[in-house]
Amino acid sequence: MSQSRTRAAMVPVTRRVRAYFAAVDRATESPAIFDPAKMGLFELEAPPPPWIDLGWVDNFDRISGTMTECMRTGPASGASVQFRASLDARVEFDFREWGKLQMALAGGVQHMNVLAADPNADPEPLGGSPLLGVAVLPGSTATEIQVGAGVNAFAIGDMVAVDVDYAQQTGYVGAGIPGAFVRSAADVLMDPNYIRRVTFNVGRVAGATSSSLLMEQPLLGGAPAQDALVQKVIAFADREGGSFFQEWSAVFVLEEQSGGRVCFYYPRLSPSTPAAAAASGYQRERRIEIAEPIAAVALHAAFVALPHKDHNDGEITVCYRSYFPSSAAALY
Amino acid sequence: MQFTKDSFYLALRERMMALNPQRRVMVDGVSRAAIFASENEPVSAKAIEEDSFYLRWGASRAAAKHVGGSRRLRALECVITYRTRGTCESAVDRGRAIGALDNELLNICHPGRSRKRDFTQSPSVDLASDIFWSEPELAELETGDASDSAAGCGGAILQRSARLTLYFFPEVDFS
Repeated sequence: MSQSRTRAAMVPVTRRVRAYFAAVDRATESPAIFDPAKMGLFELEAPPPPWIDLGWVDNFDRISGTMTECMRTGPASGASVQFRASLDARVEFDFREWGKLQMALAGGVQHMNVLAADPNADPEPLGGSPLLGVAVLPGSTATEIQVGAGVNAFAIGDMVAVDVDYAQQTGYVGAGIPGAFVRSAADVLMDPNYIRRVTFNVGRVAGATSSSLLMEQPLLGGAPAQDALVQKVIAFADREGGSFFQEWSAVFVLEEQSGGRVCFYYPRLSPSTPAAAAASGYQRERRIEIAEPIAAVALHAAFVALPHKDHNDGEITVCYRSYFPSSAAALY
Repeated sequence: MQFTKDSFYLALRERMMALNPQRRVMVDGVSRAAIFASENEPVSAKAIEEDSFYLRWGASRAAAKHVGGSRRLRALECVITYRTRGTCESAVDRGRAIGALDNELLNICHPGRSRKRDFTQSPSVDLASDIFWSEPELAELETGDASDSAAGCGGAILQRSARLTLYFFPEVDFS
């Protein structure tokens, strides 16, 4: 094979960037691991667990702020040793699709499920006192929730949140994925519905049997706990402000058109201010014109990469770049 | 460039047969997949089979910003033409039929890439790179007969051309 042929395959060509996220174990600060040996060439429509497909993203920017400095010695003060003075990496992009996770990641704070409210409840910005939950029965899975006669409380197409009652615990709450951090029970008014307000264990009812609800997509937090309840969700909401920071692991894949695949893995991403917006602020949502006055609306997301210790050699790192050469491509 | 043309044509043909195996036409008594590379058809062939896709190659140029060095990328224009008079005598479903052809074309063009292979050998040989292409742009519908159009029915035959651009690394060493 001529060298021309093998070198042509060394040019990565891409069309789009696809984003995948997985929850960080906040109690241990353990990220989800993207193992390029096992997962690198996965089918983009079917990411390996625990990665969740959040769709194509636009305006993807990886920004490195890592600074190198030199130690200068000798009469001419020449650079003799280099070292990295600070480790900093950021990533920014626009989610073109809206959903629970996309909003939570772009917003960065607790992401709220607006629970269906009691008609007599006082109005609240995130929904007033909700209707009572329906108890989850044994035998439930992430895709089928056993509720017995409670099935009549829901209709096909309803969104639901499935999680346990808040029982005055402190720390991270939410099934499978931390939805919030509770410092004291008083902060959340000992609200038994609080966990279902912040849980990521949500789904849409696609069907029903005589005693169970069938989910359109698996519940993100997995099979509901035995003492969980189901409540109807009307909308999703977030706020500007709040003390909680989301923290997720992320993988971004440059969809290969020609040449090899490139993946960027961030073990720990935390929402941040966009790099260019230090003083002037920034737009949370971006308007992408279709034909004036019609426009799509994208969620702008910006993150700072938090450090992670690589077990291979103990180095502290914030992100990884992996490249899977196209078959038959020259390697250098 | 021939490898690019062959690879694109065969990629679309394979995808079409997977998507709609019924999309076949009889040509000289032989059942064929209803997708043709015009330049490969006999000169005696009927002008254009209905409910079939015809690929016609256009100009080729160097892709801007990828003209330097030894890995030059080239662009090749392709026009895909198809026409229908519908499935019934009155042709009242010709709009739906052309819509189905539009939809099939968009489907078989996705994903917009395929491996480049040398099909002059058997078995074909991997040429170590991919071809990729832009989304098809569907032009306005044309009518097969202007007098029909004047009659207000939009023409008994509806025809469409779709245009896209293929990109490929040629088998030429520019180093």
